[in-house]
Amino acid sequence: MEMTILNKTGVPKTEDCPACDNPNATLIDEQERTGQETETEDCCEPIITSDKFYFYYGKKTGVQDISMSIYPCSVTAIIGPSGCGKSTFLRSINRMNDLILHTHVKGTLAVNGQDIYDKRVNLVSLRQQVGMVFQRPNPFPKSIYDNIVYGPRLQGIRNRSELDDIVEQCLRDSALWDEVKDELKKSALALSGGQQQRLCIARAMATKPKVLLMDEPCSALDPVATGKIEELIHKLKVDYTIVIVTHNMQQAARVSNRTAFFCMGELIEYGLTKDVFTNPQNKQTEDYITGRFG
Amino acid sequence: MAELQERLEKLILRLDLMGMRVEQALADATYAIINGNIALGQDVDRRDSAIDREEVEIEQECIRLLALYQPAAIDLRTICTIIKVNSDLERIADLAAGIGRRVKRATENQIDFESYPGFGHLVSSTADILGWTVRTLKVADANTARKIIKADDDIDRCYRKFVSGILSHENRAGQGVEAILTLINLAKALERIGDHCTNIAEDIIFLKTGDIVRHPDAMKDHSHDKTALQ
Repeated sequence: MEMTILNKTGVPKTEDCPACDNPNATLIDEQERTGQETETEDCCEPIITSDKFYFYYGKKTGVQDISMSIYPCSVTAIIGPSGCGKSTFLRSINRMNDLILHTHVKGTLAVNGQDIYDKRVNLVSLRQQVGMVFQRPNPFPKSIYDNIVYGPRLQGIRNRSELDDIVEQCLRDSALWDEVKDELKKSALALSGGQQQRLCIARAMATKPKVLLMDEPCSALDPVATGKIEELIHKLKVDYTIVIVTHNMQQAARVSNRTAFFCMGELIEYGLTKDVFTNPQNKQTEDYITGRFG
Repeated sequence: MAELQERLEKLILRLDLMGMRVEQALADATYAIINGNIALGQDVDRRDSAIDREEVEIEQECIRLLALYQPAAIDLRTICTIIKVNSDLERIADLAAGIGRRVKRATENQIDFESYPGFGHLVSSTADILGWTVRTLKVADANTARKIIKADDDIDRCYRKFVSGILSHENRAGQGVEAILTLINLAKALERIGDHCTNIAEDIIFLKTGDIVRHPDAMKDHSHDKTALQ
């Protein structure tokens, strides 16, 4: 019998799903026994669905014919050589590309079953649901506290204790609370690069998004800060759907459940990370991840 | 990454060379035992330490490549395969050295190998499968590897037939208990070499396809258990 559970993503799930709040004991045992996470997709509805999606910069094609499903409470990595369209696709998921002139799309890209390129879609609401973390940490030149409450305040939350709770929760979730709890009024710009990036993740989480898009979130960080972000991604995937673009293939292998390989604007291969990195089905994927081209 | 591929190619060559040395060791050991050539048997035993050293060096290089390059896909499968095949080849060399060490005892016990045609058949089958395995390793052919796995079943049958035959009184050809034990140990060593060839063949299949074909029944049972529980 299937029991419907609604978690933070608002996506109905069955009790057998390892990503769900109430995983089946057998799967836990399996994970403990093998040390591997069990990936299932039959029991989860995808949260992001792309169907023959094209994105054009004027006459130039950014991505073409992208059909893929991204599942909730998991990490999906997008890899590929520079200019392959991975960031274009990522930024299409919360319509960040709308800010670029003369762009247009074809096909559908849906979040939670809703085509986000439908004219009726409220962009503010979409970006509240689909947060984004950029390559370089970009905290506002404000205090740590004000950075986090910026989004909730825009949403109309004024109650001080409610804002305090949001700040504490987001900083705890982003593993930054213990480091900054005594100096919340300090300028965010005074934090280290790694702390700034975790603050940006905390800021993105403050509006309670369902999806977090990360565009090379560690490329400007040292290995220690990178390790902390990766640990954070691992913790966050219990509640969030994370899509990460990375040039670091070891990072993609470490943090993601599924990997998509893009090349020349096309989706070449998409599958479970454990399969893509050990036995890719496509020669181009194999050549890329073994460094034979790109 | 070109450097990784270069280093991998060198490793594959070293493994091929090791395979040929191991094949030669078995050929010499079986020739020595059948012909009572004690010096040749001792020589096989002496040469084993060079194979041991080579095994360690190949493994060290594999670990270095894993640590330095974090290989993926075919490169990762190649290194995993080299580590495992390297170990199996070294074990085969140990078994060949063990046969070499038994030449003296077999000669002292005046074992007449011509009285045991089953043993000769076991020797030639094992030499064939090892040669076949070493050549298949060189070309990494999964289809031939599957045939090697089947061929090992014939060696197992030969071994069982030989042992059950030698244990029946009328087939002992007047040999004492020590001679019979020596014969059984020699046959067991040959049978084990066949098993190591099967392991190598399974690793070749993994290298080419990414599939782990060991213990198919156990894996099938396990997936059946999981489905049932879900």
